[in-house]
Amino acid sequence: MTITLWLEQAMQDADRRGLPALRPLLEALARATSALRIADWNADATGQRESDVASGFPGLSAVEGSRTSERE
Amino acid sequence: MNDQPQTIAALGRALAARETTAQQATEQCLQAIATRSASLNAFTRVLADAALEAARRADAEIAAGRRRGLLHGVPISLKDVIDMRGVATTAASRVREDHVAAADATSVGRLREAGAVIVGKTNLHEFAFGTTSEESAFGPARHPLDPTRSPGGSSGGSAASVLAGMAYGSIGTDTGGSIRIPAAACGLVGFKPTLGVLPTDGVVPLSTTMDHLGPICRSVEDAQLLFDVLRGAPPAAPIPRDARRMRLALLGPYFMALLDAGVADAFEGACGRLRSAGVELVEASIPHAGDIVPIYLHIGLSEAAAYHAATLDRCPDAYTPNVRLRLEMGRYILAEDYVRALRGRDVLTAEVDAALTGVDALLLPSLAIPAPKIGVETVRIGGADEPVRNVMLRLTQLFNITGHPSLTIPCGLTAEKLPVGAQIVGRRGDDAELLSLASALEPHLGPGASR
Repeated sequence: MTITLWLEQAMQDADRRGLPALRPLLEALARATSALRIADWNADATGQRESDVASGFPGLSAVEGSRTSERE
Repeated sequence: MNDQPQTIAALGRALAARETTAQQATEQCLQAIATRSASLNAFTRVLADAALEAARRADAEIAAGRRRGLLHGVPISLKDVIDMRGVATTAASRVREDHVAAADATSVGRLREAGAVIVGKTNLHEFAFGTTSEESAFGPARHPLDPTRSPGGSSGGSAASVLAGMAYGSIGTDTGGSIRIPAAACGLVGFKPTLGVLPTDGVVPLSTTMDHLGPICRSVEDAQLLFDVLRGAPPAAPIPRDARRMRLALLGPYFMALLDAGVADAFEGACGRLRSAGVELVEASIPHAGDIVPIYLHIGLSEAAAYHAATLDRCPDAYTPNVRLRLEMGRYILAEDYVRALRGRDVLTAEVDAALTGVDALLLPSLAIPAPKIGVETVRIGGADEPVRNVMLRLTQLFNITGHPSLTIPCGLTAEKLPVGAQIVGRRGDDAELLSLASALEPHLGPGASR
């Protein structure tokens, strides 16, 4: 599941359960999940790194920027 | 505790020499609790009668020549996530208001066998899921040096109880820094041993693969003493260490990038004193430090959600609102992302192991900010507003992911006279070695910052 789709469905579910306050937390979690998915230790079944595969999450570029600044 | 010894070891020796009694020490702690409990809110429950009874029993046994060791007759507090038979383990939550522990946690049994006097259960961030001890069914725990500030968390009541002379030591838990953060904020020693070394049965879990038990106290010697009792093994033979022969790796740059200026100054001063004492400081880094937070979140939130899911459905309003929301977050994490985080844990563990190659230990600050004001959600560091929770976890959570033993020692004060801690990290399984190193470094980290 792409992070964009995951986030959309999670927010809908949170709204349905009467928890709209979860929305910003889920957005933050989506950014963290994006960072996790592009980490360079990941590999996919082709033998390539998953970071070479687009995640499809619009917030990813911002996450990548912050990761780059923290990367040692 | 004015006219009593200040540390567990000193009190233990005074009790052995019959210079004081367990009853006197316990009465003094109970008096401190009575005097300051309203302002500090350090305890969820005080066990005055049981403590006095245990103290009198200890005095009788010591008088009869049946002394069990340095902890015999010493007043100790317990974070209220640890089971004590016949007493509620509330986890500072209304969710558990009807709970009564059927048995002692193994750790409590070991404290009792050593003759410790348990004066009460201490306040915490609800379910140990926070760094300030503000969100509690019992109201916020407060800092003894400034009650408008948090003592840190989640073991905030434990640290406050020790600093305020309500107990000589406390047993806390640490899943992202919950022993080291409050110990650093309160100018105390806090020790998170290697993952799995101390038993966590009878302890309310937060994240089952990152939960640790450990002591908060006034000296490294006390930490060693409590650690030996909690692990249920004979005291390890001390390994004498000379600071002049030590080589420590200063972790950077991630770990130095977001520090309060007062914390940075105090830590720099401590490094200078270590160099003057002959300690060699070299630089080291964790290549994937930028991935610590995503890895921590996906492991911690998933495991916490698994424990709380049924209760969140059954009685959601019994949680404090923010803790409930953070627990709900974990219910949305996909299994594939949890597994990615576990892979990330292996990567980070190997990188911490590598950073320890050729050095005795790693050195970094324990807490990036001094004790924050209660109710404050962000702090300004380096020109940006940062969430208090994220900043407080930043320097400790790595070693919950990897399981390396880690200890905080007071290393100075900010300009506002708030304590700053230095964190020393050792090899997995080498807890005794880390305590020996810390004991040798403690006099140099000061200056006189240890309380």
